[in-house]
Amino acid sequence: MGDATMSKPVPVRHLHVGPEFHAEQHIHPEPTSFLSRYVFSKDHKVIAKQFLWYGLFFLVMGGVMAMMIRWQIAFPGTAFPVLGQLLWPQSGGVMPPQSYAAFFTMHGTLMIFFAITPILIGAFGNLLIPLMIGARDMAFPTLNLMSFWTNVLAGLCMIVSFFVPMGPAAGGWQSYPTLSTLVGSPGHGQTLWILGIFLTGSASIMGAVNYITTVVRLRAPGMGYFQMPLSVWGIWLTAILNALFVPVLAAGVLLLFLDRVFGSHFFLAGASITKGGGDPVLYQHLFWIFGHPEVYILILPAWGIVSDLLSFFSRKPAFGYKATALSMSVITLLSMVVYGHHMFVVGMSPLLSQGFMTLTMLISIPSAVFFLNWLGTMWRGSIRFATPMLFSLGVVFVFGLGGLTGLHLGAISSDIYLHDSYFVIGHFHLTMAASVLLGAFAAIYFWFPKMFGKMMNETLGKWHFWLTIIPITIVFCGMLVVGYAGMQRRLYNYEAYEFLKHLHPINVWITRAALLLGASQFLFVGNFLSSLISGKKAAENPWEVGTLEWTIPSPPPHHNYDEIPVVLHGPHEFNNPAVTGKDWLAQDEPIGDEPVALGAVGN
Amino acid sequence: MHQWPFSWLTTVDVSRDGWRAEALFWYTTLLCVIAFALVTFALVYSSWKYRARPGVKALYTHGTDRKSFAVTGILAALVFVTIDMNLVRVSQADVKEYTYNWPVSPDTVRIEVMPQQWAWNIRYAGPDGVFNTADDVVTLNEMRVPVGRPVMLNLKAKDVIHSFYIPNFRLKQDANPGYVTRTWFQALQPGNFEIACSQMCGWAHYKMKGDLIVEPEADFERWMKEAEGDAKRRFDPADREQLWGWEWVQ
Repeated sequence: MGDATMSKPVPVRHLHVGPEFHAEQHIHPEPTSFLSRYVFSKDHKVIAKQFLWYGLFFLVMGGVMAMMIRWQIAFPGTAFPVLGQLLWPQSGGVMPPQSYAAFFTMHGTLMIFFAITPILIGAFGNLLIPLMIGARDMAFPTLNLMSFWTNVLAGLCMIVSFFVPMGPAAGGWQSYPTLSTLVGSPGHGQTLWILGIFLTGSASIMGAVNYITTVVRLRAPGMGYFQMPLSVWGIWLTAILNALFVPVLAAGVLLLFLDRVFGSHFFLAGASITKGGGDPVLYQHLFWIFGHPEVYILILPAWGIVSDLLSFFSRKPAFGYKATALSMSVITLLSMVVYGHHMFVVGMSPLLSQGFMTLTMLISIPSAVFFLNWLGTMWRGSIRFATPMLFSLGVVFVFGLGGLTGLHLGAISSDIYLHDSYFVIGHFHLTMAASVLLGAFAAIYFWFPKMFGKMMNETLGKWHFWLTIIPITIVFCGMLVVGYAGMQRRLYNYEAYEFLKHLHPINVWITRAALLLGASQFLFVGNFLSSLISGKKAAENPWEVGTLEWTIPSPPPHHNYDEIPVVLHGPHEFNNPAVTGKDWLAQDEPIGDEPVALGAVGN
Repeated sequence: MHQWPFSWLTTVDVSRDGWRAEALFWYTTLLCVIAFALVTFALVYSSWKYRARPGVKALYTHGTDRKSFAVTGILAALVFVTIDMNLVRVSQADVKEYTYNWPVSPDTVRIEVMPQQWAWNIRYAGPDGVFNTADDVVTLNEMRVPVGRPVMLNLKAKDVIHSFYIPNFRLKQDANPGYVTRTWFQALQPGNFEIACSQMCGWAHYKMKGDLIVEPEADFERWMKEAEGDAKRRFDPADREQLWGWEWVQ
């Protein structure tokens, strides 16, 4: 393609355009009232910002809880500075065991469903899908609005649960019955938790339907599936998993709700009932049928974003783009058939356990493919180490650690020892907390200019990166170590056990690193807020990349595109030899006089 | 006895089969360290070697040529065969030879365990060899077993899910309300060890400790005789709560 000379006739490119395309893409007038503009907005860009603020709020809440949990582990019997006195004056600021249980339960719940999900899926899903595929908005703007406000109701359920008698849910974020039934959790906290999960699940399903439809129907002419940026691929696959598996969770918690409120016996067994009875392990099956795909629901958007950013900042096309997209799709499929590896010690049939183990191991193949493609993208690139790139490299690093430690837990005989230990905590935080969080930071630093029209401070960004990646690695690798040493998760005071006492110094170091990690996030908060107010004005395309959102002003106008763009290239055309004067090429930018014909070819 | 790296971190393994978890753990760790070192090396090396420099352009390639496919494919297949299939192979051998290979020899010690919030109820069948009868030996938070004989457990929770965890045996098994789960182990040396709960079971989960006392055969038999005598005297037929046991599940 490099040797396109003027003498040869260039074949006319026929671009795929769905017949419904033009009819659906009206330009709607911009709303004028404050409420319809900023509160009950149907504009995907405004909803994206709402989700971002919403997610960041819960990220702070979940983060502070994590600090308090770590404080209790390392310094039991001492008051958490300032907040301890406010929350538990009756015990002199020391966290009581009931609060500890409530905090680790709500930390997990809030981080997964109310911080990571809103930021990566809610905010960046909303922002990126229409902008990157060249659409004026989501397919269903009203549904989008409902999705956000349903989420707000869900968040309110969770917050209110902190103020009811006996406090919030305290049976772990999975809320296994029978502990989460009235047998183990009286009070309204657990019921509110169920309502909150049900509502946020409904919101996720609304979002998923919207995202899937938008990607399928509203791609700009010429934007085939394999011209989509990998970010869109990741978010789209996440939406598919959400649509398929969140209903399973919703069904599970609904049955739990019936058990709690209407006295049914779906999950009740044992001494609490006199005859008949259900099976608490049934809930675990329902939970993990959802729960394993959920891991990928959280990580797929980050994978997609990182795949794009590595290419953008290496100034090189994504290596093996199709193979990356397809291996993400294969992982999406595999994630549906491996959930049993969460249940090796519940007493499942040995045949099932062995089947799940073998299927689990298959995930290595597509994972290896896109890891190699990430490294291949950097190979012979011309790498610019801007803050988003640093965070993307951080994702590759911590996800490498997290992914590999999954092997220990995927094999039955080592899992039996490591199950429910801190090894599990270290592993899943590396995969779905550390890498997702770093991915979210990469995305925020990268698209902040497009979202808010201002640049973030690069120096602060780089400090933030180093002061995050170092402690985050220490924290979660430290957990792998104490987990291997045998320490169970969810212990208010592990020193109750003789065999864990010697782990004290390691636990203290983990806590110190965690406190540093927490403190360094002030760099981000400060940078975010000050850039918002007085950041340098962002140009249209400050990173010099070619995806469609960078061809329109920062921030984009209400209707995104004056003219729906016509896509001519893939998203990563860097250093294309046919282009002169710059090293990037916008997706809708013709090279020379390449003729293009728009026609209803359909697909 | 096996020697593992960083043994100061862990409890002493006093079981016949605990080495399996350790062996697989360290085997997996070794393979992971190699893989991770390679990834990190590639990451750091490319970051340094291919940093943006004036006058040096990035290579224009989509990595879609036959050679790139071949290299990626072969490396991915290599990872799968050398790492994953090996782990499956070792783990399959372990579960066949130990985990699901329930002991059937006549000297097997059979124990029923019913955890509740927050204690371990423990039951031996007594002289008649039948569970849930008047001569059963019942203890609280104390499990006694002899050295060198296989010990098989039946577990069923009273209230919420608990998990029977004995770190010195590298063993863990959930106990659920409603149905019986099984596990087994064999001690190689005497001593007092801890029983821990590893499934969140309420706010006092962290206090749910028990003692596992492994003693020489003769001491165990002496204790059992004495306990059987006590059991007969203590049994109150009017107290139905006492008969919390169940028919043995082999």
